[in-house]
Amino acid sequence: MAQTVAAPGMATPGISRRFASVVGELWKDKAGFFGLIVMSSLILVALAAPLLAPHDPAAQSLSDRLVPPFWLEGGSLDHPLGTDNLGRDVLSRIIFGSRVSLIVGLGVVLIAGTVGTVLGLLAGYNGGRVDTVIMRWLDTQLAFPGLLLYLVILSVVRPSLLVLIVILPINAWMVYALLVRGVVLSAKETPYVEAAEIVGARPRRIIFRHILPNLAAPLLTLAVLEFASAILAEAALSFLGLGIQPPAMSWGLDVAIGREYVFNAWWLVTFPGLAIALTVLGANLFASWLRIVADPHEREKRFAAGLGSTGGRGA
Amino acid sequence: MGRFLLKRILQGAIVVIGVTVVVFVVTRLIGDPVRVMLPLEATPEQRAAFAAQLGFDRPIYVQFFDFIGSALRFDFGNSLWQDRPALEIVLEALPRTLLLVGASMVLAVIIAIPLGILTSLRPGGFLDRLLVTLSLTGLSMPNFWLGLLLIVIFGVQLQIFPIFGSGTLAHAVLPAVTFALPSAARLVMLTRSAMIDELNKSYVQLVKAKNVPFRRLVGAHAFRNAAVPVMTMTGWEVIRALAGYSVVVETVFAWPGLGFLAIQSITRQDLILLQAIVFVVALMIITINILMDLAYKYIDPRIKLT
Repeated sequence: MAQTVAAPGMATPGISRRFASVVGELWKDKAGFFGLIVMSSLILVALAAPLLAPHDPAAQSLSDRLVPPFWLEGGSLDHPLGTDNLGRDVLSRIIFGSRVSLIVGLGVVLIAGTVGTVLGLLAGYNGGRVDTVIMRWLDTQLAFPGLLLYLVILSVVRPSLLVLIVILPINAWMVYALLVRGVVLSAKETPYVEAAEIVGARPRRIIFRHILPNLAAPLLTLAVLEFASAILAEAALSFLGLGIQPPAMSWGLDVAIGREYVFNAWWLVTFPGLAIALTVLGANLFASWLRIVADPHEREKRFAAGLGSTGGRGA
Repeated sequence: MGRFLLKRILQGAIVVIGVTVVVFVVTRLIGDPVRVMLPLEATPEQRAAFAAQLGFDRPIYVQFFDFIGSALRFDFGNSLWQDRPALEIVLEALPRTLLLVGASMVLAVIIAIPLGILTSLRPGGFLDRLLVTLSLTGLSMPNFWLGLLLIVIFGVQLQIFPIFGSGTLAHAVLPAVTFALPSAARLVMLTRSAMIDELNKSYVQLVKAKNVPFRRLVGAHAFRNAAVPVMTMTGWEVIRALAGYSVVVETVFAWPGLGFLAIQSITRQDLILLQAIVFVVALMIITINILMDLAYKYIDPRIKLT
């Protein structure tokens, strides 16, 4: 009996040990674990919003206006986080608002990441004139007043979810290009890439087989951080009235609505903002865990120091 | 030195022209300025008269060169909303924004540098972990929300500070703190890591071996070197604040600076004013960049300006 149980484990020691070590490492790093929980709950909540929300997030009820959260006098578990100025359920709106955050975050990361990675690869691998042109462009654009240019665009184009996903990458691609170019430049100097070039591998093969794997870990980490930045940018623009437009739902928009009632209904600004902050914090913690776990040098440092991860965004 | 300045000013000019071109393309080619600036119920005759008055009926290339030319002469035309030169309005709001950003950066640096140095002395210690966690939490809060929370706590519940508008020094406290906290959080992290790097270098061993007092080792030797990245970051924080955060934070507190003015110009459909704001902010960013480069040279004489 004991033998048959042990057998499968013996057959794949590498995989199971690896899996166990990843889980073990995540568990050891409470902050990273928290980040993972937050990120996965965001996805779950966004997907299952209609099942989780206690009310229709758009349903108005004039008799239930500005009901406080359930632990305050006048509140009830029917509306656990209270209601807004039109009697809409705050919790349900937060649950549905997660969808906009998730879509904007993913969309912007996908577009900006693709554009930035391609341009960074071109600049780093080709060097020469291509590199000069891309880097000059980047240097010039880095000095642009980013948010103000969004405002110029949004003053002539009617803002919407799609417009946000299209315009946010205009500034967001630059970090990817800088990162990718840097990694490519250093990878190009490594003996194995030189060896591949000497034996006559084509550029495409060198890029995909030898250089891109180096990029996986830093790109993934950056993508998680930029996911958080995109959520923050969407929230800020929606708060200013230049992002998601009612009746669509967004956390930033709900904070803007709550702002009018800041004197008598503090919960209206507090909870949607808390949702943003929690999501962003989760993404930041997850990213700093990812950065350390995915980078052999960092792992070594950490092992030597014998500490928990307390990294975070340097820049 | 002279060549360096000339080169940087030339680069700055390219950026300013670039920003102007982008603004032109967005407002004239992607959007229709007449449609944006006139109310929906305007008649075709009114639209034609408006277009003729502001020159929107001319060929696009004539408009382009005219636009670039007048921008470089700081002549943006009259604001539609206030019917006086847009530049005049912008220059009235600018000092208020600079005051706020300046005060908050001083605050951020005063908070962040001692804390950053303190945490670097014992990485992994209790204080270090506490501050890193606090910094990460602070960085995760959207700044408009941070501002509103401060309003709820200090303005509405405790009623210590006024919460909207400007006028007295007390009005500046909450917006300045809202600006300062995220910047301070980033600066703590950076000071910490720059100091840890410095303290691990071999010259520190030498200085220790010479029995130099610990305070002097940290202050005069290690921090002097760590100051360069910290200063770069502070410069970037100022740029970030001017280029974007001011819009959000000033709107939250109705602080009548450039950022709030930008939002008002959009709600009043005043493209001319918005263009002037973008142009002036771009100029500010370039000036700060050049000043930062000059300051490097001052702090670290080894840096060569090219």
